[in-house]
Amino acid sequence: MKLLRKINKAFIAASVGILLGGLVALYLILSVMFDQEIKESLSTSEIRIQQTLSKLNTEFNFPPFLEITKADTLLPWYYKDTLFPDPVDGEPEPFTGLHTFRNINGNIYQITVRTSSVENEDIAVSLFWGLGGLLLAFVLIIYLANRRITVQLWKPFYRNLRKIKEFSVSDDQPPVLESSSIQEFNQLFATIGGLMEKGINDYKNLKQFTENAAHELQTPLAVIDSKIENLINTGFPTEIQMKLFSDINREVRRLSSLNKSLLLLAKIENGQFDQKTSVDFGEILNQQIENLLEMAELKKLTLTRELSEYPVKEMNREMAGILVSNLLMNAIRHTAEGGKIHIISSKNSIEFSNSGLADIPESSRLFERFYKGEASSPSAGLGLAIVNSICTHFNIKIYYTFFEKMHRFRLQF
Amino acid sequence: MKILVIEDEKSLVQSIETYLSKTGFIVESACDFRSAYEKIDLYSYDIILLDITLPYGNGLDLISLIKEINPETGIIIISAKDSLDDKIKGLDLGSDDYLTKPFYLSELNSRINALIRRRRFKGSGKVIFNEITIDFDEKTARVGDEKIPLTKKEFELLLYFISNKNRVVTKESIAGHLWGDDIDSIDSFDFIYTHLNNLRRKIRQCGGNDYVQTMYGMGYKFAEK
Repeated sequence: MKLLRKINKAFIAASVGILLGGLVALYLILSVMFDQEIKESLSTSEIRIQQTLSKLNTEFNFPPFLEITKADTLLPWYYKDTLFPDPVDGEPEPFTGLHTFRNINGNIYQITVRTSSVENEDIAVSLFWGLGGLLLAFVLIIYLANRRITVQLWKPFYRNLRKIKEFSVSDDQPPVLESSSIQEFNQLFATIGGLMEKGINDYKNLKQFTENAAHELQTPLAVIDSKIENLINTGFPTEIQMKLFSDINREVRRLSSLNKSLLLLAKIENGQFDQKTSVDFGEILNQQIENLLEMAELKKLTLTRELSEYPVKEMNREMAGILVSNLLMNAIRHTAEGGKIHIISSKNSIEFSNSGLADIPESSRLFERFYKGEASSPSAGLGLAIVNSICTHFNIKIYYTFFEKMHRFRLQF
Repeated sequence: MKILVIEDEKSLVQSIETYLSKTGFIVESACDFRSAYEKIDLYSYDIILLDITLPYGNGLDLISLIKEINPETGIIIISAKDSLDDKIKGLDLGSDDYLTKPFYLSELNSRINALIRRRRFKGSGKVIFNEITIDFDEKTARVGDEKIPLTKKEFELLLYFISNKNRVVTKESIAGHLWGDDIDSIDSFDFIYTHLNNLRRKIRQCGGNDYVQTMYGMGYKFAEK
C-alpha cells in the first residue's frame, strides 16, 4: 500500500479513536458535572425554603418548582427525575427534584424542590456537538494539510522515479535526478545516480570491447587468407594438398564472414551508424533488387514487386541498404529453385515474401544471433540478427509469419 | 612497375610482396610512418599501398605528402577499419582506391592493374593474352578479330582472370570481385559456375582456347596448359 495511505490510515484511525473517546468522556463528565450542579443548587434552594417555612409556618406551593406537603414520618431524602408538560407546547419537559423530609415547629413536612434540567441537557448536547464539530474540523484540516504537504514532498520523488524507469544502460548519459529537501531521498537518489552511471560505463566498455576484439581478429584472418593464397600458387600442389587447402580456406572464410558480421553488429549497437538522412526506400528497394536480380534468375525464381508507394524515413542510408539486401538475400537463399519472391511496399511497410514448404520452427527465435531455421544451412545465422539490430536501433518493427505457403517478413515503420 | 607497400603488419607485407613479385612487380616496403616518409621522399613509385592505421602518425597525412612530392603515383588505401569517414577522407585527399582487410591478393592485384591502366593509359589501351584481346576503349573482348558477346559480369570475370593470369584465383575472390564483399560468398558459388561456363562456351564459340583450369576445391587458374 502506498506510504501516504498507510500514514493517513493510521492517522485517521488514531484521530477518530481519540475523537470518539474524547467526546464520550467529555459528555459523561459534563453530564456528571451538570448533575452535581443541579443537585447542589436544589440543595441550596431547599435550605432557603426550609428556613422560610420555618418562619412562615404555613405551606406554600409553586408547582412544579416547589411543593410542600404534610407527611407522616421522616423518610430518607431522595432525588427523583420527572416530566412535566411545557405550558406553551405541551411537550413533556424533564425536571430533577429533591425530596426532603423535615420536622419544622413540631410538624413533619415533605419538601419537594424541582428545577428544569432541559437547559442543562441542551447545554450538554450543544457542547457535545459544538466541540465534536470543532474537533472533527480540526482533524480534517490537519489531515488535508498533511496530505497536501506529503503530496508536494513526494512529487519530486515520483518525477525521479519516472526518469529511473525510462533509464536504459544503452543511454548516453544517466538522467539528472532532482534533489529533494528530504535527506533520505537525497541519499537514495545519489546512490541510484551512481549505479546508473556505472551501468552506462560498464556497458559502453563491454560494447567497445566486442568491437575491438572483432577488429583485432581481422588482421590475423587477413594474414591467414593471404598465406593460403600464396600457398596454392606455390609449387605444384597435389590433389590431396589442394583438398586440404580448400578445407582450411573454407573454415577461414567462415571465420572471416562471422567476424565481419559480428563487427557490424557491434558497430550498430555502438551507434557508429547514427548519421541520418531522409532515406527513400523505394530507391533502395529497386537498387537492391537490380543488384540481386541476377542471382534470383540463376535460381529460376520469379521475382515480382509492387513498389508504387514506399516508406521514407530518417535513418542511416548504409544501414537501410544492408537491411533491405539482407532480407532480399535471405529470401533468395531460402527459396527452392523455381519458386517465387514477392516484394510489396506501402507508405509505412515493406513485406518480403518467398515461397516455402512449411513454417520455420521456433520462429520466435528467428532474430537471435546464430539461430538457424534449418540446421543444415551453411550460413552463420547472423543475417537476421543484423536485420533485427538495425530495426531495433532505428525503431522499425519486424514480423515473421507463414501464410498461404509463403514465408513473410514484414517491416513496419 | 614499382610498388611501395606501407603496412605495419610484417607477415601481411610478406604475403603481398610474394604475390605481387610473382606477378611481375618490384615491391618495396615500409612498416611505419617515419620510414615511409623517408622512402617517399627519396624514391618514386608507380603505386603506393597505404595502411592508414600506422603507428606514429596517421597514414592519411601520408597521402597529402605523396601528392605533393609525386602526384603521378597511384594510391590505394588498405585498412582494417571499414570506416566510411576514412574512405571519404582518403578519396578526398587524393587516394585512388580503398580496400578493406581482409582482402584477396588476387583482388589487390586486379585493383592495382586497374589503377595502372587508369593512370598510365587514362583507362584506354588494350590487354592481350594470346589470341584474346581486351579493348578498354570499346569495352569489348575479342578472339582475333571476332568480338565475343559478353555480359558485363562475364567481361569483368575475363578481365579478372587475365589480370591474375597464371595464378590460382579462389572462388571467393571471384565472388567478392563480381558482387562485392557484402554478399556471403557461400551463396554465390553456383552463380560463379554458371557465369564461368557461359564465358568459356562463348570464347570457344569464337574460336578461342579455353585457358581456364579448375583447381580442385579452391578455384580456377587462367593459364596456358
